[in-house]
Amino acid sequence: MTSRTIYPITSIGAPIAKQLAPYGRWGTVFAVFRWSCYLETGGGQVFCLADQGLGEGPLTLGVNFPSETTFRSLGVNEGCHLDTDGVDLVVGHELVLTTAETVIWEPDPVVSTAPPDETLRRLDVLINLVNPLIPSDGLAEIIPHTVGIANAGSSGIVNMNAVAELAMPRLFRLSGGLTRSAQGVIDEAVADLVGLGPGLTPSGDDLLGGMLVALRAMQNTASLFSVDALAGCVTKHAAAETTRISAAMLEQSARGYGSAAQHRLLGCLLGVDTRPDTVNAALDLIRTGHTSGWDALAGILLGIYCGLRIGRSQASPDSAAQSSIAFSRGMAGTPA
Amino acid sequence: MTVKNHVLKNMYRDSVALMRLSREMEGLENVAQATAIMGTDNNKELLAQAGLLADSGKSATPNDLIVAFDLTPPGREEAVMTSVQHRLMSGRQGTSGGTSYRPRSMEGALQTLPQANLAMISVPGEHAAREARKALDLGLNVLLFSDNVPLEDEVDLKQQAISRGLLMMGPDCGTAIINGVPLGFANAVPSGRVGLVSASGSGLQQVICLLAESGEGISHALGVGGRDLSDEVNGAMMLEGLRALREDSATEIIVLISKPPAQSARDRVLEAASRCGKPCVISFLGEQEERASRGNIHMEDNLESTALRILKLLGKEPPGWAFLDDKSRKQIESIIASTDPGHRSIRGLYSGGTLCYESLFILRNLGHQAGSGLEREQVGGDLLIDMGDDRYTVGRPHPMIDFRSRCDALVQAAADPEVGVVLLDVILGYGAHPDPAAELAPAILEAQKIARNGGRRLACVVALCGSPDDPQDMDQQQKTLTHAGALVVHSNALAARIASAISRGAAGPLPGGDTRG
Repeated sequence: MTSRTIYPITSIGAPIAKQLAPYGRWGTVFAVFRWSCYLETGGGQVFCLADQGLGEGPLTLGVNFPSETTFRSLGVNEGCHLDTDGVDLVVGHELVLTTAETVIWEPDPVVSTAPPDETLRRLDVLINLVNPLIPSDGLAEIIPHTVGIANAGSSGIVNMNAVAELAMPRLFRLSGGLTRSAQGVIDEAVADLVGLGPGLTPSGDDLLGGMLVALRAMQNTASLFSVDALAGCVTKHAAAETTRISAAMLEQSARGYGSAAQHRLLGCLLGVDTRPDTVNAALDLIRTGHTSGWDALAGILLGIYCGLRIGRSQASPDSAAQSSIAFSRGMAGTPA
Repeated sequence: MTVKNHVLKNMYRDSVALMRLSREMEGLENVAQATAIMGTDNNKELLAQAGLLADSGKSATPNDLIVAFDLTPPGREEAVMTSVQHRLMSGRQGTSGGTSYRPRSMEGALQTLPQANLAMISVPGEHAAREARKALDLGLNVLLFSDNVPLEDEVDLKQQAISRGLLMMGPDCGTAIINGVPLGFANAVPSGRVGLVSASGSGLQQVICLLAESGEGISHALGVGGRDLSDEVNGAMMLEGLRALREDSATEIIVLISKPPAQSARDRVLEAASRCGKPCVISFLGEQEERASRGNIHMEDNLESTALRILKLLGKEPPGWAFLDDKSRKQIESIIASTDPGHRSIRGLYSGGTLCYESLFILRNLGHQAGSGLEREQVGGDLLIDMGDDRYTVGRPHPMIDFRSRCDALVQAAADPEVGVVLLDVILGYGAHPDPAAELAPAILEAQKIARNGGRRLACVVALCGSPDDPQDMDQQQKTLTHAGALVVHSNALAARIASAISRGAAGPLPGGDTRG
């Protein structure tokens, strides 16, 4: 008889909670990491079992493991099934997960209360804070240039890593397409960004995910048409052109669901702003993965800048000129 | 150049594992260049640009891992792939699927880092005491960054810490350096012989920075929170810090810093210091008492004289920062000559509360009827404002990080026809703004322009509090501010005296720092 180890599931993302059946097989493990594993339902929906310390997310079932416990040490391997009897869950032969303490996680909606000028100042402060820490991998190097990209200014950027150099002109195109609500341009740029870069969730995907979550949080500012167009293009291309883990996450981002860290930071940037919250929220996000958090931060910043520019464009017939002036002021405090 | 691609179907490894694999492959014999990347179309384009895409790699799907390498000279492909397979399999328990592990509880953190002996806590004030108690229960020293902790909780926490032989630094403790490790807002200062206990963060930073500039380092710098020397707390943690430094063999001179303490706390601290067996420099800022040395006790009333006293005890000559050079003196004389006496009120805009307090005290000693923004809403006259105070930071970052409120206030001051001198502090170090001068210089230029347009001259005097090794590059900060037209000194007390001289229209009594006693 095999001994079983029992741990509680502390949280489950609302989107995945809605899709899981009350009885039977929830999914099969297809990728195992130290503190997380990924599963796929019979219907092809990807979700994640993870140590609760990794934070909540729309597709995550957070488990309260003791420190240093790994999935492999609990006998979880590729091909294991996750089954439920309606009360508890069993993974493989050893791991039992209880749901008595489980809460459904859903991000608090971001109430966009800050006026655009205030948001721009907050972005300036945040960029100044993180600038010395920016890594040379992935797309983090574009962070100081996000305002320029959104403003369709001259790139004038040299000495970036290969991924960032490849991404830059595509991001300019994407930004321009969003401002003009040009679906064809958006589609082309997205196709060139999805699946770009190293990692389980490629950098381009993380950036697009951050942009989408940010733009969805700016419903009162950004153009719904442009955001819907972006969401549609990202979902379409991700389904075929990136890893299935990344595609699943992007599908959620397109609906406005990001990680808890992303939502917390957006709350600080768009809503109430206090230094400890903003700094800690940014640190929480950039600690995610090797570059995933940084890439998502770049996406959030670019998303907000683009959202504000779109909003200004819509608000005024002399949109382009006015928004350029406003952004140029914002750039004064942005390191080159 | 022989490029080889191997496609591993449905293989998922996180970024760190793949980067490590790429690095390790490049260390193998004959491998000139290598990478491991998911087989998306855009990544295949990246590989092609790098000259690392072979025909076999073109068939990869987004869920496949492409292992690509360039063999120069050709050969050993099989050996390379055997090594890759071995590394991928042995790395199955690598990292965490895209996210590094971050404990969410103090217990979890301790399990991950069992040798940790200090918890730094920064949570909203209403939860802070509970977290601090938890840390003390786990045998951890505590640095409590949070403010708005009830006074009764502070008393209780400090008593608990003392009974366990632990340090309880804070609440509202923003600065400490222990065994060379900076905590909170702290500066990159060298190791040395001076140990400090301070109920003031910016006061502590000013003293250690002046010492660092004079070539002297510190053993430890302990913060205790601004209320430690109140009637209620009665110096509980300053006494513990004093005890710790007394027993620390690296500490030769002990320095205690606070705003004026409650009488009972003052008596306890002085009594303990007099028996500690090491020279003690005690700076109760603004105490209206003669500076004096009795036995091992050396009383000082400002931060500059405290640093000078320490240096004197260490046998050092008075340092350059205590004096004005000829160029600065001429600049001051020029300002005085071109300023209408009616337009010479001082406006102080501070990020460091203790620096503001010190300047206020010095100006009043020099005969100014200076007010603080906290005491009254003053219209006209000399006014020094601590912009780090809660009333100015609601919904905003601290002014050591975010300069916009001070820049706005500076421009407003420039528009006030009575204001002739603006006093500013700029605090460098870990946790502070990465480039304060870049923020402040444009505002200084704008302020001076506004004053000029009004037919006046506005003097900007900056106390630059930093160490030569701080990450912001102190020299560059000074150059930028000076270039913008500011008069920059490193001693806050000297900056206040300069402001006074300009305001009174007399540069004569400005030798720099004084070392009475």
